[in-house]
Amino acid sequence: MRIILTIVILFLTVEVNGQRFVERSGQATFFSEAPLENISATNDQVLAVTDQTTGEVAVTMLMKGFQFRKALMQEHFNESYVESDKFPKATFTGTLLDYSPEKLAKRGTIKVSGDLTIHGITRNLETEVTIIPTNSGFRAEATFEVIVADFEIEIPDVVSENIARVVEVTINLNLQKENVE
Amino acid sequence: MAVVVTGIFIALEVFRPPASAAGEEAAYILTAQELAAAYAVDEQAGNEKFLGKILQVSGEIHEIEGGTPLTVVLNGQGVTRVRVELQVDPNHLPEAGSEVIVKGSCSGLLLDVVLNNGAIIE
Repeated sequence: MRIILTIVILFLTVEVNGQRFVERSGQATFFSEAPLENISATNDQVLAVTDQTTGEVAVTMLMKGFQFRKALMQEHFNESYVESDKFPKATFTGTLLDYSPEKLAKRGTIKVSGDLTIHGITRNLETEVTIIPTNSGFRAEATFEVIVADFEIEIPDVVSENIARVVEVTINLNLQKENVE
Repeated sequence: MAVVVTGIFIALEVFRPPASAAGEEAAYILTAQELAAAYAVDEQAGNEKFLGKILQVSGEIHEIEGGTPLTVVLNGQGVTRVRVELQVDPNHLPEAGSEVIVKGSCSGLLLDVVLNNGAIIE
């Protein structure tokens, strides 16, 4: 709840001075490599806000937005693993490290550190973000690993060969500067 | 024979792709304004009522976003709209400003209420 509030506050307070970058339909993918089967899913329901002045970042995504190739996988993911009825969102709130606004205007990498919440469990995450300037803002790409057990996601023994203990998550955001009156 | 039939059934179930909401029975039939307002007032209550349910929603198209998936955005209440991600591209795409009826599975609220596996009904 605290993190959701942070995202809302960031969205609203940044609006006052008009110095925010927003992505309303970013993409998150995850890839699980396991002996029996590789599993991947894509989610286009990702909201992200970056404060240009402070380098604060907030990302939230709807867990039911993950689309799998097989409906059964999608059902198991939502019902048995991430319990998306109980925990409908995953969130990240953090700050770009050693930040200056100029870093968003040139291609490069920048570290981000903050709190990642999945399945109601919050863990610190620090990862590198690739920044690619665009005409209207910048693209941000990040890939990091999530240890499933860290977020108290239980994998039944019967399917333990199908699902990796560590999944790779990739985030692609096309953040656009919003002109606020 | 029973083994073969069971095997076919299991294979069909395991490899079944996610389906469009078009053929599903709607748990709720409402307008985009009503849906957006419900979430704008109380997101948790909105989730308890609508999350994961098939909704049939009528409303005016604000815009259509290209790309994959194609997304129909309906006017809702204030800044909260209803975004419907289409499972299959329609043969005929209605224009912004026209009234449509859509179906989709509710995945919750970002800035807008989002429906997955959507379809334009009429």
